[in-house]
Amino acid sequence: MHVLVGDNPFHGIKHLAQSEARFRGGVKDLGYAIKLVISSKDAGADGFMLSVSDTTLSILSGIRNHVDRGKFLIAAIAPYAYEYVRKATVVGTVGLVREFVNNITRSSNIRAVYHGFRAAVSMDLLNGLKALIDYELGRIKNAYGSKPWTLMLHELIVDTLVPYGFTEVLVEALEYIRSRGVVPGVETRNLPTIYEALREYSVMDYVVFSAPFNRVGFQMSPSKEAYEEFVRRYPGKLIAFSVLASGLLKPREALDYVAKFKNELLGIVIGVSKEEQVSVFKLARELLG
Amino acid sequence: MDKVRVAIIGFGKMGVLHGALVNATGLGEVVTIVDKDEKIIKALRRLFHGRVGIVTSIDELTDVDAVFITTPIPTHYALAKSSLKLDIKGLFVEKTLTDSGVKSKELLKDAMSRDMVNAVGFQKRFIPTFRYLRELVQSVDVSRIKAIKAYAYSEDFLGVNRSVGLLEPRGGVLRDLASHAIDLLFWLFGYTKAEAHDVSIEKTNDAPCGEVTVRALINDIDTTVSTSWCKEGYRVPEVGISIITGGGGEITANDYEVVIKNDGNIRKVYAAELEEPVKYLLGAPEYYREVEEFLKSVMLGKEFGGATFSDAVLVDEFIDEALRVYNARTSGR
Repeated sequence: MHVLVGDNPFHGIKHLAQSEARFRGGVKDLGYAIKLVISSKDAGADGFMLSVSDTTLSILSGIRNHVDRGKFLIAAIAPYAYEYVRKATVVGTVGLVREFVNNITRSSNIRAVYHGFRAAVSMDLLNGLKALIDYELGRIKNAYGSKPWTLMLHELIVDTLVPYGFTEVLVEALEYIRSRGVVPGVETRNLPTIYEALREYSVMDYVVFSAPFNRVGFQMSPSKEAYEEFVRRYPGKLIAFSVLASGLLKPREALDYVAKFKNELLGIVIGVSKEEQVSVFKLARELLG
Repeated sequence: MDKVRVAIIGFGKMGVLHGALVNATGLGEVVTIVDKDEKIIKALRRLFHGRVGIVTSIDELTDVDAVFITTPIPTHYALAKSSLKLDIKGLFVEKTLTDSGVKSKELLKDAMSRDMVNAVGFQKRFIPTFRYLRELVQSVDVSRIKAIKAYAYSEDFLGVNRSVGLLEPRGGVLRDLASHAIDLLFWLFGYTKAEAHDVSIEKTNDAPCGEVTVRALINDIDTTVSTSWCKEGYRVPEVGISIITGGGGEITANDYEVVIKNDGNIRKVYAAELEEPVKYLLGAPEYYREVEEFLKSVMLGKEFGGATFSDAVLVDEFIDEALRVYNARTSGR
């Protein structure tokens, strides 16, 4: 069972109540965030799950010489949707695409530039996703010194493509991640529905999922029961996040629930914002092995 | 009708979101997308391979049951006016209905002359904390309410180096963002009358946009509505309503929680504790609930359970008045 450090506190996110994240201020000091990830590793965490952003890339740069990169797993989610949605709000969808192409061009990442160019010329979504994948893999490698264990497509892409019937585009993007020597992943808030859409495709043998999983059913659509059934039927596929239900649950009660599925879950993710909270990783190790 | 056949007008961020939810409910299906941008049209035609009709004008719409208008606010009036002439059973317009009370009233009149479900995207009504607050308000003696403070904040334009004023872009911050708080206030307390008497703008965070504060009497209660697109810490647009009662009592609800302060005691209830998971979660649960409710209304031919054109007219008229007060004040009259 993998126990990963989550990055939400480093982005000032608290899904339960944003006012609490504001009150606590999140973790704005990069040095402190780096220290927290390293302390979490020392307490039992064996990886870091992050949305690829300037903040998390800086954290990756900061920890690279303090962890065994062969053992400390990086589970990256791309894109950092918040940044893209905010830009779309300001400059519109077409402006966002233009800015994305400019970023890729400036990155000098040959593969990304190639796919970005093809996407721009033909207005082709798959090439756009390939450009994104290459761009983000390149940024992670530059920051961390090696590829991530898994690159997961963000829920905003996954959970939008599937209702429109673009499952094949999603599958091809996942195949492309695999071809780059990285485990393909899907981050979703609609695990049973997304799995059902993807189950016929052979890439499913390799795909890992990340989704909310907690005792109270927080953000588990369509139901907690459907997620539990998924985990039992497909062991080793799910990395659970929101296990503390964004702070609604105390660590012990949250982990007691997760422990019931310790042989079925691939991993869990827990975010911490203070040094004294890293003991949760020790507790997780005790309960989950 | 097996499924509601839907056309989405404007395939930007909100159009993509609403279309995905229409399909995800299983109650509807996006059959046509209308957009004017040539690049978007080209990309969509390539992407959908004829599965969904891609057209550039409402005039080309045929064989649809319902229309979603998800374009910028200043375009709503003309698009809704044209849509109301179509042979459809439902029209959903993203908030606010238009950029003026007069135009919204005209659309309401058109809609009333048609046997058609009409809806406006004030999705905050579908957040359980505000539903909880509404139940609390109904048990409160209104005469005990001393004041109401409302806010609608986002950090969408924080650090954006361009002018962001009362009227642009996206119809201005009052219509684009504060309208959610204003709609909730009218919905919570029942609208009898609303008079804006002062509007001020204060610069915040060195950003080019200021914080707009509207002071008003709503149903004779002193009410303050504050709004800004540049409020740090509001990653997702958030609305909050505080009801201040005599004796130090206060009830506050926002998108995430309800906090009840009474006699020195504080009780907190989270949205997460109040809500059932939705069938499909994209964006936020309230979007799903709103789309599902609209599609059910169209299927059954019943009135929409969220905000209707009639509700939206009140919001647009109130914002008109606030803008009048602001203009009179700044022009020295």
